[in-house]
Amino acid sequence: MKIVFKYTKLGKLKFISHLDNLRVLQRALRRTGIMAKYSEGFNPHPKLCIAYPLSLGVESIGEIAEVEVIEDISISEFIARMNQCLPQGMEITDAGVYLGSQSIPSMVCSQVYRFTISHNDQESVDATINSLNGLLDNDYIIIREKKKKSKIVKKEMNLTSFILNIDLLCSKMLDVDVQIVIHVSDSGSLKVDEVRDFLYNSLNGVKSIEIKRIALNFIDKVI
Amino acid sequence: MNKHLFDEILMRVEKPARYTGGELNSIVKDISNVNIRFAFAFPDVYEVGMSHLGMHIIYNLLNSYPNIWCERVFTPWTDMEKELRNHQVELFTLESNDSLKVFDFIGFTLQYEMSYTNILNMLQLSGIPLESHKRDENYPLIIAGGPCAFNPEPLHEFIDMFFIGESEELLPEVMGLYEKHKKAGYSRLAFLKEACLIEGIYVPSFYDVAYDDTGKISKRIKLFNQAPDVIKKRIIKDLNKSYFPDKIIVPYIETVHDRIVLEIFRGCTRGCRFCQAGMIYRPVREKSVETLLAQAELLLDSTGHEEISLSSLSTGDYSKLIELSQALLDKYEERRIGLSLPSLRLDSITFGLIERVQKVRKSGLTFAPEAGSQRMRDVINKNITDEDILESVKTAFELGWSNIKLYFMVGLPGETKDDIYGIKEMVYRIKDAFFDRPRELIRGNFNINVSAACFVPKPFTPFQWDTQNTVKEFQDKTGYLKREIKDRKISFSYHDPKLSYLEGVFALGDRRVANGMRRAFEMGCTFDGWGDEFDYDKWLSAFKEENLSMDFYNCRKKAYDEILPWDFIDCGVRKEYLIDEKEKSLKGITTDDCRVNCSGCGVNTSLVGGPCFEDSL
Ligand code: SF4
Repeated sequence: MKIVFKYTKLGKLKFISHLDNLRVLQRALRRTGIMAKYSEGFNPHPKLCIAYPLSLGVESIGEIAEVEVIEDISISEFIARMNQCLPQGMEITDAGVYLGSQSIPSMVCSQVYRFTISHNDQESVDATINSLNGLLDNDYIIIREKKKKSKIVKKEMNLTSFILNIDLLCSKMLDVDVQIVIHVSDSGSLKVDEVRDFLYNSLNGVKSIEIKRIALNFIDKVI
Repeated sequence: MNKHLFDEILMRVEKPARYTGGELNSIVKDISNVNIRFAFAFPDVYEVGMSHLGMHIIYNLLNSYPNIWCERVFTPWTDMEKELRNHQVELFTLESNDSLKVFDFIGFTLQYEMSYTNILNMLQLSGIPLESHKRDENYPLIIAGGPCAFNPEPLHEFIDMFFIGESEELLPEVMGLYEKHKKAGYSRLAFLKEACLIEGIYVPSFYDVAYDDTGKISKRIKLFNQAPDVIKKRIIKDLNKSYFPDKIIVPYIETVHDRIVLEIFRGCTRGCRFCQAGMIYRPVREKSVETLLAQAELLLDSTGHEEISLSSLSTGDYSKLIELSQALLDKYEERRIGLSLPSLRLDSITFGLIERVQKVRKSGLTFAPEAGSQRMRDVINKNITDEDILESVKTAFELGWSNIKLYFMVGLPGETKDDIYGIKEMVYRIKDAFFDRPRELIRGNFNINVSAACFVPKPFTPFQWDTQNTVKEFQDKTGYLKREIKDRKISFSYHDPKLSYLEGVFALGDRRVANGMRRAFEMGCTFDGWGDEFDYDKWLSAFKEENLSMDFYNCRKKAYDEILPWDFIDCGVRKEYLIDEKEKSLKGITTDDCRVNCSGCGVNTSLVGGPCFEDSL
């Protein structure tokens, strides 16, 4: 039985890499004593996969992962037992039996982030709010470098073509919260750092930017 | 430190989770409810320290007292160190993020000599004066224990108080005394004066050492009359009754040993003459199968680890090994929890067991012949024969292994070219054993990993009077083997001779080497055990500047009646016994395993007070 679950990665846990995140979940699963399906091979591991990697340093309230268990267990019991075994900052908030055949990672179509943009003064706050609508009108070319063997290959991308939406959520004092939806396609996606740099370069009077992942969207329902 | 800066720094360093804390089962207390704040300090990076069972025991032991809060601190890696220095942030513990300066105790564990400069670095990063005499009541007490504390003298200037032997009982005693002093108005000196009377405690500032004109120790002088002349090691009599944690911290990041380490017994009965652990942890004390099963369950349930490693100095010697292993497998096979049995001899009894173990999770196979020739193995009292080894590997091949590791030492006392050549011979005989089988049985990609360590004479061993090989001699020997062992299927590696040489200096050093250590640290030496960071030339110039000779300590044959720097410590084994063993080694005479025959090392009369085994004596 495949279970897809949604969980948080908050506080100190934002400093845990993708691979370590996977290990934390696997260990927690072991501690619950819930019987899972194991990978074959030299060093068997519970079959568990995370839908889409999260950048180091970014918190999230909408991570998705999938696990295959081999015992009959109700969803509410699964959530309760896992939450007892997860470290502080990681909590399962939703889960469901997954009946589809397509793998979860291959179904991710976009990622939703909240960017909290702190400004130096009220003037900049107003300017940011006014410029949001036009932010995606122009191309914004970024260059990615990739090491292929000994050569460095450069690739140009238009960042704005990967951003599906920028919406104002709220503004409080000198902070402006915006929601940004980033497209995920076969040809890849954007890194949050790239979007952060884009905001720094496109807006004025920005003091700092904090990022949180809110959700992942899939081409079909997974939970 | 403000949260913003903390986050900013963490985003710049490698593996930030080394510094965040907050792992499952880590303990946070309210400081208004505790009287004693203790920082357990491991002088190496997080991944190394967190793999160490002793740390988890002490951490939980101290935290089991409501009035004590024990936290952890590890050596920050060089990138983090730079950030701390640049932002003038003092080194902090993982739990409260408070500077080490505010603690009552900082307890360093001394697992290997080459971590000593990290201790100095951690003190400096905390803004704490390195030298004990420069610290007053405003600073924490700096204490240390662990195997290297059996020769504490190289660190005498920096550490206020050493714990000699096993500290599971000793630490709470000292904490109790401290609390009493703290309530009555704490004075550092008054506390140390009372603490030094507790068995197992060594306060180096209460002694001075005089040297003769050849530089040898002429006598030890007491500066505080009541301080004991001899420091007796502490020992836990019954391991089944000693403290064991019911849960341990689960790191977020991968550590060196990502598994449960179950200590099945302490001590060792084999009496290998090069092995310090085999002498200082005498006598052998086993845990019962029930105790071990209960401990395994607690640890597995609280960590979710995938492997249990049965640890001890010689796991195959555990008297109930089969019973324990079967029980663990019965219980955990289904959960795919693997069992690793290091240093196990393969014979008809263990054959079936190993076969079963391999089904759950494959593990590597390691043999430690230590020396290449029978003659040399007799000298070091490693009582196994070529035939034993060959039989074992043949069994392993039959069981489907094709990868094995072999450990040897070079530079052993009285070693000749033939002994070195013997290493090569043995390796090739093992290779032949693999291929000299019917074609259809040969499976897998055959590979032997040969590793050679450079011998370091250690205190409290029969070889404590011996000279170590020079760097040049080590290089000649390892170079020779490297040239001789040229085979696609055999890889040969060896320990850095320079590092091993320096290790010898600190293992055998007296109070004066402290100056060399401090100078080398000032010149930038830290993380000496980490190949890339080790800078031998700096060490050479540090010792030169301090007018110290390294060779005086590790490359000089010492007479039996010379006062050795660690002679004031009583580890239970009599000096006469060590001399006896040394003499026997010169003649190539072996000594029986304690289980076969007690050879009267003295530990049964001085520490335990009774025979080591029911059927011995
Ligand atoms: S007293 Fe005898 S049996 Fe006990 S450790 Fe010493 S030699 Fe071995």
